[in-house]
Amino acid sequence: MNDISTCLGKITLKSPILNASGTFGTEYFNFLEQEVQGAYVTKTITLKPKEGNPSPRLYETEAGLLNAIGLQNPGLKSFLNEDLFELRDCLRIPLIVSFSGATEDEFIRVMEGLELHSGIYGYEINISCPNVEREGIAFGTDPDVVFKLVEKLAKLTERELIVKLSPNVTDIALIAQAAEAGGATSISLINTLYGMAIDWETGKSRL
Amino acid sequence: MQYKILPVEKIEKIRTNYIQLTIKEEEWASQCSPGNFFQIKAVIDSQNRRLFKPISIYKVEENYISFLIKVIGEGTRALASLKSGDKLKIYGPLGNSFPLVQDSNILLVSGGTGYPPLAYLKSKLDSSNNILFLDGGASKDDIFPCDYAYTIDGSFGIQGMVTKDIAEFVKKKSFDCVYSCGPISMLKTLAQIVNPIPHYVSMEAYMACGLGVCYGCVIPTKEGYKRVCYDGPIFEAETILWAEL
Ligand SMILES: Cc1cc2nc3c(=O)[nH]c(=O)nc-3n(C[C@H](O)[C@H](O)[C@H](O)COP(=O)(O)OP(=O)(O)OC[C@H]3O[C@@H](n4cnc5c(N)ncnc54)[C@H](O)[C@@H]3O)c2cc1C
Ligand SMILES: Cc1cc2nc3c(=O)[nH]c(=O)nc-3n(C[C@H](O)[C@H](O)[C@H](O)COP(=O)(O)O)c2cc1C
Ligand code: FES
Repeated sequence: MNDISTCLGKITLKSPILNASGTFGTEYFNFLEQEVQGAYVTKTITLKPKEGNPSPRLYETEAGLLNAIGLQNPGLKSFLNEDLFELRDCLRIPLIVSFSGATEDEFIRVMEGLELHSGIYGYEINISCPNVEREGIAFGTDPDVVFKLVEKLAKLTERELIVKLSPNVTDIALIAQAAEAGGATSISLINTLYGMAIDWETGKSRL
Repeated sequence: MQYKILPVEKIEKIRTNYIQLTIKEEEWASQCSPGNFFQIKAVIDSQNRRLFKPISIYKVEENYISFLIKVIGEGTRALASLKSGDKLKIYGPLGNSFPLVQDSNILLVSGGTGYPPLAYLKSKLDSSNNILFLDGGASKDDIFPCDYAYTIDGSFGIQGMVTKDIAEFVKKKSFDCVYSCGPISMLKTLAQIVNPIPHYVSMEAYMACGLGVCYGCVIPTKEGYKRVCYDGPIFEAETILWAEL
């Protein structure tokens, strides 16, 4: 087999392919060899369990799939007590944990919790979620907010620190530079694009 | 559960808007239970960027698995355009299955695309049971073999909704168990009428992965949002928060 190994920030991956967070689970290893991927990225977790958005959450359009999942997840505690063990057992490729928060403090507490555990190669920081301390405007839309958040997180870890950027901004390069200045060792492009589909019969949004 | 690319063994057009599609797969045929479904997609250029579609098992005969599919939109239209020998991408069997009872008085109620899983269930319920099967649809084109048929336009069987006479049947027959599949409005009404008889519903939801991974297909239950593809599609009716649907 050809050598397709590559570097992602601090870590070397045997393959340059990673899955998009939230769209992929270990169930898919029934279909394909794990080693096709360089690493496995979890669905985003948060400090507290999150119930997610009401249904429907998906709508298929000509332009792609709209989703409004709302980060449904069992929370950090359940992730550490259950999923992490299962993932460590199952995976032969590096594990990257995706996480998010509604406040800076929540991001920090999740990272502190994860830092106590082995078997994690890196983090993907999902900053496309609303910042409740700033009227719900997504973290990932303001370079200053991103810089401060990433700077605090970078101080807590030696592991690979990927910042996943939101495409729903005027100039994504500014956000990327802020993440790098804060201490991100790589960036992930891109999170979900905003979109809307309207049911022409009712005039209402499909999601 | 496995992923395969298989040829269509046989495909038949049924009336104006249904197809019966059959594949040959020995291993799967022995693994199927009533209520299970497969994720299916036609191998056609227009479908490359489209989702797989969840389709219940309709019949299993020896090594053959059949699906009864109503043409609704892009995905099902592409399936209907296939000819025998054309290829399908398919994975499954997926989801949980109906519990099978014995020595019971059973009511089966289907509406719309809800008929196939109940027809398969009926074939698996043994002869110790007494079964009444009601099927409903918009018109005669939507009705399949059953004991009593209901059509909204009155073009076949009894005019009205399939739930129309159920309160009376319940009084007369003292059912031990109800199984249903169909549009949410039908299931909701039915759940109210047959309560507190044990009632298992097969839910439909828009799906992406079909594997429990994306959390795209949830319904509200007493224990929070549950994934139709993974925690279901069969649920006990009393666990569902119908008012939120
Ligand atoms: C577990 C399960 C088993 C199923 N079994 C069968 C079966 O045996 N036979 C059969 O004919 N159909 C079955 N269905 C329904 C079938 O999956 C849909 O009709 C199909 O996905 C439509 O796809 P499409 O691309 O043709 O239409 P789309 O373009 O996706 O949709 C057309 C319209 O139908 C609505 N719609 C699409 N899918 C659903 C859905 N799942 N629930 C509610 N509304 C929807 C959309 O909102 C849209 O307005 C099943 C669904 C589930 C969840
Ligand atoms: C069903 C679904 C669930 C997703 N869940 C997450 C998630 O938990 N965390 C995250 O960072 N991104 C999530 N995403 C975004 C994807 O990871 C990806 O960034 C996005 O879909 C853009 O890539 P694409 O254009 O290839 O779809 C989700 C996307 C979908 C469709
Ligand atoms: S369709 Fe993805 S979780 Fe059910």
